[in-house]
Amino acid sequence: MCDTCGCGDPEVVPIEIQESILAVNDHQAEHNREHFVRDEVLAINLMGSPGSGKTALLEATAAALGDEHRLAALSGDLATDNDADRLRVAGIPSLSITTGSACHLDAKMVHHALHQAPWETSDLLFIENVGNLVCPAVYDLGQEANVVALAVTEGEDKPLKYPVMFRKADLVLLTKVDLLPHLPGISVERVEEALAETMPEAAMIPVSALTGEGMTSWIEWLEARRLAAMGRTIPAAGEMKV
Amino acid sequence: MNGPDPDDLRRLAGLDKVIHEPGRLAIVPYLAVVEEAGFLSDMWTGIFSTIASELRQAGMHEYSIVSALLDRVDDAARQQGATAVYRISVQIGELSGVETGLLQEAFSMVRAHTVSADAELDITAIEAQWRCGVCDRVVARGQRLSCPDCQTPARLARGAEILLERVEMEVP
Repeated sequence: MCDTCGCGDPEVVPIEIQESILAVNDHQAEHNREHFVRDEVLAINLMGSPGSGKTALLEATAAALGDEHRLAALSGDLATDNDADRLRVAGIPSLSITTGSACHLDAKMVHHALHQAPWETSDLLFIENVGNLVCPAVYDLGQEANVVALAVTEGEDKPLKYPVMFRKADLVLLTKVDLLPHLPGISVERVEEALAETMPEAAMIPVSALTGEGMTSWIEWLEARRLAAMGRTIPAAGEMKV
Repeated sequence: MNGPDPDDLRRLAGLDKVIHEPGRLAIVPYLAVVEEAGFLSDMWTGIFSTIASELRQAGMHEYSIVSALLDRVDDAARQQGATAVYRISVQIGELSGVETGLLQEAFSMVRAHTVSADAELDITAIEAQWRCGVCDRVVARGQRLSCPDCQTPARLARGAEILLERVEMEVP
């Protein structure tokens, strides 16, 4: 009540909160991360535009790894099971997360899928996010690393146009490099320059799922990440990177 | 609250195909021109909640962010025994991935039927700033994100915020 004049006006109270709006997602992501650490699974959040070659990259990764590691995948898809079907054919036990019209995966969707997928016995879990260069970057899923697939056909300035996505990337895979001979206007150096302006520890591997170019470097990167993660402590939630 | 604000509806109509479904589209301009539509209120409530829940899921993640924001504000209001919320203050960083304009649009749509129905969303936009991870020197925009002196990778000192700062509420 207003104590000065007794008019009966209610009181306006400012309450300090100072908390991330995504605190609920961050908490769930931290929980997912605890699962991954406990079961010694390297979880990779694979992001990129629709058609950047995420699924083809995972197919080629399975072929290149052979029996060396046990893989598993969760595929975020607006409407179909096509990606998970393709990955199963490639030998990766996979589950679709059908998001309906949602533009991204969040930690809760991933957690729900983890209860249905046989991921605990795998060494590497790929979370193939919904094809989108904006929204998926906002949500921590509990992953160990963010990998962004960027196709050579998308243009050299994509990192500058989508800085939020690229600042959170631990690695960029420049895909479809087998097409470079047909793209005289595209320079790999200019892609690298754009990445250096948006990614503080810029790391890029040019790859082709078709010819196998770069796949060895990509697999070495995965193995180094996996070994480094074995002795890891759980990072703070909310910030995947930085 | 006598129904939706016509301005909100007009802004909405330009948004997204979710609301361009014929049945929904028909009702939106109707509600935009009438003062009150009491006989429609049940229908509106149903349609409204369908639109709101679809928008929350739809193409823009700002709707899921507003949804999380309203849930948190609702908790805070309940803890304080508040009857209404006047103002919600948030900070949104330039590199957070959240568009302040879309956030404001989403807020004006989704706040109805919550304790924040008449609240104002006060957004402070935070400009991104990169600094050297070691010597703290500012790394200018449009350059390589490493320290010009010691080559250490830069860190984002500010500009990643998606922060609920404070809520002003009416406590009887």
